[in-house]
Amino acid sequence: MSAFLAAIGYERWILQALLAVPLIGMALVIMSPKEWARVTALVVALFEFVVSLGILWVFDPDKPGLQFVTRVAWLPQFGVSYYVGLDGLSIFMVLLSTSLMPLLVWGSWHQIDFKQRGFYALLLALKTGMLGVFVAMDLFLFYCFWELLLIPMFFIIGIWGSGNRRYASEKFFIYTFSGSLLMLVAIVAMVWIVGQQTGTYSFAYDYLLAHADLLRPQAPWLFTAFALAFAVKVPVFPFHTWLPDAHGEAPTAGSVDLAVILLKMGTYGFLRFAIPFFPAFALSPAVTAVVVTLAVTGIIYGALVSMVQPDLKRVVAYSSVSHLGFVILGIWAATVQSVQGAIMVMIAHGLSTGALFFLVGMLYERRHTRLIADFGGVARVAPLLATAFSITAFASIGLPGLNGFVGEFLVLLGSFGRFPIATLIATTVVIFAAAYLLWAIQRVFYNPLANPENETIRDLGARELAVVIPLVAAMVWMGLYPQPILRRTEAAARHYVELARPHIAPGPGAAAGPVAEAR
Amino acid sequence: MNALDLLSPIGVTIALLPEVVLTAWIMVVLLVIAWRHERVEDSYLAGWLSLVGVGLAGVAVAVLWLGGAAPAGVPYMVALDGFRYGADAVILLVAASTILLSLRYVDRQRLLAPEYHLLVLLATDGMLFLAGAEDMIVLFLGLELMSVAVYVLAGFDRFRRSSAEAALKYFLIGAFASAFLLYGIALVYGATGETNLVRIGERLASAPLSVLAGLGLGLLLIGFGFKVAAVPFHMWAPDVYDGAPTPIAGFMATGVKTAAFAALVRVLLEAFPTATAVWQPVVAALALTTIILGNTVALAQQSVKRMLAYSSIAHAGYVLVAVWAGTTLGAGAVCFYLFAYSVTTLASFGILASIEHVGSRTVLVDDLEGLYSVRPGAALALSICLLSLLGFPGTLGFIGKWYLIAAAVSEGQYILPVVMVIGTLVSAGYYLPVIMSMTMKPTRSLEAHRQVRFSWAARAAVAVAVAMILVFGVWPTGPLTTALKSAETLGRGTPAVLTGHR
Amino acid sequence: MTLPLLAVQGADEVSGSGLGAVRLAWLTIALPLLGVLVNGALAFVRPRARALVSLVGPGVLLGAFAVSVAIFFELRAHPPEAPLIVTLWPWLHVGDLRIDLALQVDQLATVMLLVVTGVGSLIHIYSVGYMGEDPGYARYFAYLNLFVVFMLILVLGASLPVLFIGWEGVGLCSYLLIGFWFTDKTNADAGKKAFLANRVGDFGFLIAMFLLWQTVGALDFATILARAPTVLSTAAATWITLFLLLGCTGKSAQIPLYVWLPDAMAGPTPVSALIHAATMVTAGVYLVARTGVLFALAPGTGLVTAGIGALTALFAATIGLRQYDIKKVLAYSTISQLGYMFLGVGVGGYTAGIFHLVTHSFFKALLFLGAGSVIHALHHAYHATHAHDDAQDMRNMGGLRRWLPVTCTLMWIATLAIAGVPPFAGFFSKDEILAAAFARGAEQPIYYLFYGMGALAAFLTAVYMARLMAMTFHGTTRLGEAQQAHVHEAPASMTGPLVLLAFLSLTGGALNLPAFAGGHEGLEHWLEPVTRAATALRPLTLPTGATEDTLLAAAVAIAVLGLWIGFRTTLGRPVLPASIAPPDTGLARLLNRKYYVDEIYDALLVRPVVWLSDKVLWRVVDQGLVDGLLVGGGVVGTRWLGRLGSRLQSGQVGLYVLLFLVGAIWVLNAILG
Repeated sequence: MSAFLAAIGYERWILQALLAVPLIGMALVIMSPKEWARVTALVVALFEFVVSLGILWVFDPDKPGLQFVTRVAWLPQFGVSYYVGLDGLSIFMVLLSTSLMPLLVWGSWHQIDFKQRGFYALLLALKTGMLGVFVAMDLFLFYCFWELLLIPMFFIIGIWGSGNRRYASEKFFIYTFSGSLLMLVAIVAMVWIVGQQTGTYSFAYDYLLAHADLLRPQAPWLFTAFALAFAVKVPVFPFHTWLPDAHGEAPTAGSVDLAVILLKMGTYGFLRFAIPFFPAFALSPAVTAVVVTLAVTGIIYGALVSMVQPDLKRVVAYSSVSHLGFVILGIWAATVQSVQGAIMVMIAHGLSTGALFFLVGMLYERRHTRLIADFGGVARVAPLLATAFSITAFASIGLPGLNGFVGEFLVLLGSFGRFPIATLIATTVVIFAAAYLLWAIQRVFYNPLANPENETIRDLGARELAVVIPLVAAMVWMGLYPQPILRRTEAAARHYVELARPHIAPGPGAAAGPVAEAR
Repeated sequence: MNALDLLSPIGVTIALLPEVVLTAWIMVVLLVIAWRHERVEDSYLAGWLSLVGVGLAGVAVAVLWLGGAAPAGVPYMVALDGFRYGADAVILLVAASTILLSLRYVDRQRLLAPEYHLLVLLATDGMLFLAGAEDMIVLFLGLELMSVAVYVLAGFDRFRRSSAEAALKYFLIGAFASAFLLYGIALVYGATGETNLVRIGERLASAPLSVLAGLGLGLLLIGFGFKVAAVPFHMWAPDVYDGAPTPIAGFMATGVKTAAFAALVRVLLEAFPTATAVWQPVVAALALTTIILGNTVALAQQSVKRMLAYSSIAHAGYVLVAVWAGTTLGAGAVCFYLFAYSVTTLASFGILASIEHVGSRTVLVDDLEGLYSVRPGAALALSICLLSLLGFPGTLGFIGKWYLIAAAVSEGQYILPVVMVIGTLVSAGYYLPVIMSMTMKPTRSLEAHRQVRFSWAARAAVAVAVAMILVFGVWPTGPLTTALKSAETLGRGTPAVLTGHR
Repeated sequence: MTLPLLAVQGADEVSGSGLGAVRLAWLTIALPLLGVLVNGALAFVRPRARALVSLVGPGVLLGAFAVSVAIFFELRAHPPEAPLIVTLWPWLHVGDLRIDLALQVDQLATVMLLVVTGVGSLIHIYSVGYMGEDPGYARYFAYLNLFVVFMLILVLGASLPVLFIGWEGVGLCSYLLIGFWFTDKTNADAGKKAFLANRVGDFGFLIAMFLLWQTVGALDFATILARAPTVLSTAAATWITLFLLLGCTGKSAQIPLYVWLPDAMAGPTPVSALIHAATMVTAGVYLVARTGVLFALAPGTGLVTAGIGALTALFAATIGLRQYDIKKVLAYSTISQLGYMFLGVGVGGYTAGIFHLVTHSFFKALLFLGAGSVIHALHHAYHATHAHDDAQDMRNMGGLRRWLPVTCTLMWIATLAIAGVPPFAGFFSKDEILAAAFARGAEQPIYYLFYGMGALAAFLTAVYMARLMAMTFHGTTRLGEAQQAHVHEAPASMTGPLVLLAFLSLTGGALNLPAFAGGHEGLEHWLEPVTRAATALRPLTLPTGATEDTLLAAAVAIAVLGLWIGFRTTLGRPVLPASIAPPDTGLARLLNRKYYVDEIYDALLVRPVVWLSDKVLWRVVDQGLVDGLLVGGGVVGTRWLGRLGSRLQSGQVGLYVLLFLVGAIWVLNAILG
């Protein structure tokens, strides 16, 4: 396999292909007749997915640096270039979003019943943006992709959303836009600060990283600008209030994309840019204290608030706030375990929360309500749906043996040494997480089948199973045999940890035991 | 051809080729419409003729530009540098599209009168003079030529009270402002005994700025502040844009601004490069107030036209940020941004002009509801324009904004860029609702939307503009380098120390 | 999933080839898993495929039992000094963290294997008859098999995280099985309550793991037990074990987390027998024994453990006195017995604890299944006569031995066993625990108190068990004429397992027959390699001679006296059927209402949290402060500024000029000033 891929120069063109295919597909979808739009989209999505799989073979886990690198001058006189690459931090984000595409199209099959061409076109455009964010190694390019995402998502929520959709879409746009604008200033400033001292003006990631120490004087506000942009996306408490609205009103595909990819862009941003550029400031005790506090607050807060949501979709939405808090905690703890865990949580949360949104969407298609109170006893009439939802929920709760546990466990294990108290508090979420999801499950699927409208709910059909089963399978596989993922992300995680270590004040755990020095 | 002797008549004539050609052509058009001014076709004829004139002027500019004409020694009267040509190019582009957008509009709005296009030409001629002026007198000449023509155009829709009223206001305050400018010129002359910008620069370089020169500088700033509608000298703008025929509003928002900014930059960089310490704070303050007020007030507008008016004020603020830098990089940013902004703004006004139809003149944001499902093309084009004004990646506006920020940041200025992006954020609050009402809301006035007709001329103009927005938005190398180059040639002949990065 | 690559570490220590069975240890898990898949699939496609389900469900378990027996004999043939590790595949290899999905086979694990698969098989067989008519038959067996899978992972896991898979997994299954009839809200509630209570424990478990990682730097038992004595300070060990203990109290229903177990009786009776009596709830005891070294390093925790055990034993026993629901009585009895086990392992008598674990699994399973057949019979009768009385309320029973003679006799055996009457199994195990507690008293007098509490609890146990038997089988029946016609003994598939369990309850004591009874403490020696390290750190010398005899005598006296009192008092006065019985008053009411602990927890924990989340966090913080004040405020503020600005646009030229002049003056001033 690898030989074949090498023969066709896979490594050289794959990223370009991944970025281009959705755009081409977009054109095809727009040109194709209305009723063929979704089919076209599905074909494109499957193609993209299949093509992307090769990465698994070609990617070399033991190489710490970038792979699949392509670099072409774009605006030479301004040091901007089309510069893309892949490493352990981004590989699974890319694979996640490519493998998600077919499911997204499939999941929207019947739900989107008007302006279908526009919808699938935007869905594909969105995909290019997402992939771009994760592969872009030129900050100018990165920023372009980062912003480009907003438009498709803005329209997807605003046109095909439900209920209060316009409010949600505008809120989403303004919220995220506000964060990223300051980042733009910061990026330009970085380039000029570095450029005026080195004489070369370049937006290339590694170039800026190499000269990051020149940024020290301005680090505080530069970091703040970046952090704001990312914190809104994650979202870190208290920048999260766009999330429930966006998640709640978006069509299934939108919610899933939001949960699986968009939120991760924030945490990815921290891992890739915000901290590596300004480690001294970002990991300074003061900043760490603030961030960790916010993260832990988010973990508990998200779980508690999610518990009392009347709307099933918002339950899941707030749970994201809780989960992403773990990622932030892990990133700042900066031990191999915690960072690896953070990456695992990013992937795991993508799978389980994505699946949850799919399932909620399927419920919504059947009953046209998301209010928990309207349901009850659904497991009687739709056992498959109930089972799928329960498995996913338990994965999300972090039941060992399913994907959720691996990440959470590693994050907490790795963070405990540095932030014992914070981790202790964060760990209590195992109780609250169970509380909100089990309570929701009980009120939706168990309890008497009182409401006659629920008696007619269909169970999952073949198409829906085709969406759910792969996800569930992946959850089990990741839970029992995460090694393939861990292996491919380890080099990047180590690199990050080594980069961070010199700037970390030794935590109380560092002296806790003889083996503590080992990590 | 190079090393033009600007003291010889022939030299000046060549140097002024575009202006000369255009003026000559204006005479031709004048003669033609003297005979033919009754029927509808006449006004179209005038329009087409004017377009040809603009084309000819364009050719003249190209000849000078590609010919690389340069002055022998100090440039007298008129500049011979890329900056002028760049500005001229934008101005002529604006003029051409204005005429294209107007052709059908004046007909539909019952504004038939061939003079309309003639006035546009006159104003353009004035703009060219203004943008190229190397001498205070020429500068004032161009300014007045432009202004007078625009005063008339503003009130061209004489059957509408608002239009007439707007014109009168504009004229009154305009005269007032011109007086400031003129007095400023006089004071600077008193201080330096020079009217040539480069010479003034040399004089002022030797000694610290005298009170007299300072006063002159201040008055000049005020005068320009009025022309570019910088807060607090902007009060006329919303009323006038609102009253003027929509294409003219676009013309004013782009052409006038471009010329005025070009002149301002030239004056500041050639005549007062040593006095940056004096004028930078003022420009910064103007930029701040303009950005903040322009954006916030735009937020409160219901009428799309008025919203665009305020947004154009805000954008003037953005440009001032680059002016503040006072470097060639800044000048290049100004040049590029004016291009980007003009293309986008004109296109938006053009679309708006085509959406307006007899009866309901003021188009409210709600009137656009569901436009997408009836006129997807128009809705899409307008959305793209608004996103470009918002400075969204993938559009010309983004590149421009990024360039402005770079210009300010390169001088170690962070507050202005931050204010600028915050202003941008606010602007999302009034650009988005338009897009949303077009795409996300159900069609309310189906009939009204059906009436929306684009003359193919307007369609062409808009299409070209949108194409530029997208193409140059993704591949801006061409315009970017042009802008930078043109800026580097700015004030050729002046001592090198006075230009370039500091 | 990758195919298990079977590397057996420490194999060389085993003389001769052998190890065939140990290599196959994963089969004990794989077989039930197969059952899960088959039954699970059937549950969806053909829920009523009774024959196949009845074959697969118990079948896979018998297979697993066979493997376990093989393993047992293999270890018996050449007992290994160190546990045998069967590595399946790498699980979490991150940095220097190396956790494999590995199974650990040693004497202790083998004992558990036998109990789980053995008793499990019996209960599976019993279920065939008991759940026969249930529409969710296939689903039931899928769950039951899944439980066994996780329970075996729990006992075989070679590291804490792997054990944790099973630990949480059995919790999941208990949740699913308690809520098996989920359309009844109380069942669903009970399931949720059980899972949440366990989650509280799991929190402790997780923290314990983190602490271990920080201090010992490993999470697999072999390394932990090897390193701990050298690297762990007493303080560290105490913290670790305390958090572990929290986990155990959750899983094994000890104070303060016992509250879920009584409600768990909402599940089908065989489930109560298997999960909530014989196996899962004993996991805590197993864990303490497994990590004995850690507890040995932390005598403080030992004290706490013993104290919690003794207190729970007594506390639960008192509640058991006044319950009317036959299963509730047994539930509290289970809690109380688990208390004994904790007392046992708390004082350091690991063998005693495990011993009681085993015997208890016999007689308590028997009791539950017996109760099950009673309920089954009554339910049948009520169903046939369309009566709607509670088939579990002992006040509706009485004199049932006329119709259920077999069940009656078998349950009497179990009763004598649990009451601790020689020579029944319970006598030996319970006595050993009490003896151990008493022995500790020599070091710390407080253990005498624990012994006393234990003895008192033993007395109460005898009382409430006698009461249960009397109310159920003896005295005058409270069944209506109609029902009496329909009450009859359960089918063989149900009575069969009962007989076997009765036999075990009778002879189970032989497993670890003490010297005074002519035995040589087989279990003690069998477990010796496992418990050696711990007992070495915290030696325990059981009393002998006169003290031993007196203790024995006392124990027997207590048991017999208790039974007699319980029986007499119950039959002393007439019992009224539930429908017309007056509510309890005074102390009885307090006991009947379980000291109102549920109500207290609800008022102090559940309601406040929900209130806080809903009223404060969501409505005030989220919607009010963040969204309303910050976000909304910003928007409103900007808009307000905008309106203010557009006010200026009055259209009055005068104003415009004025502003112009103001600006002009300002500019000039700025330039000159």
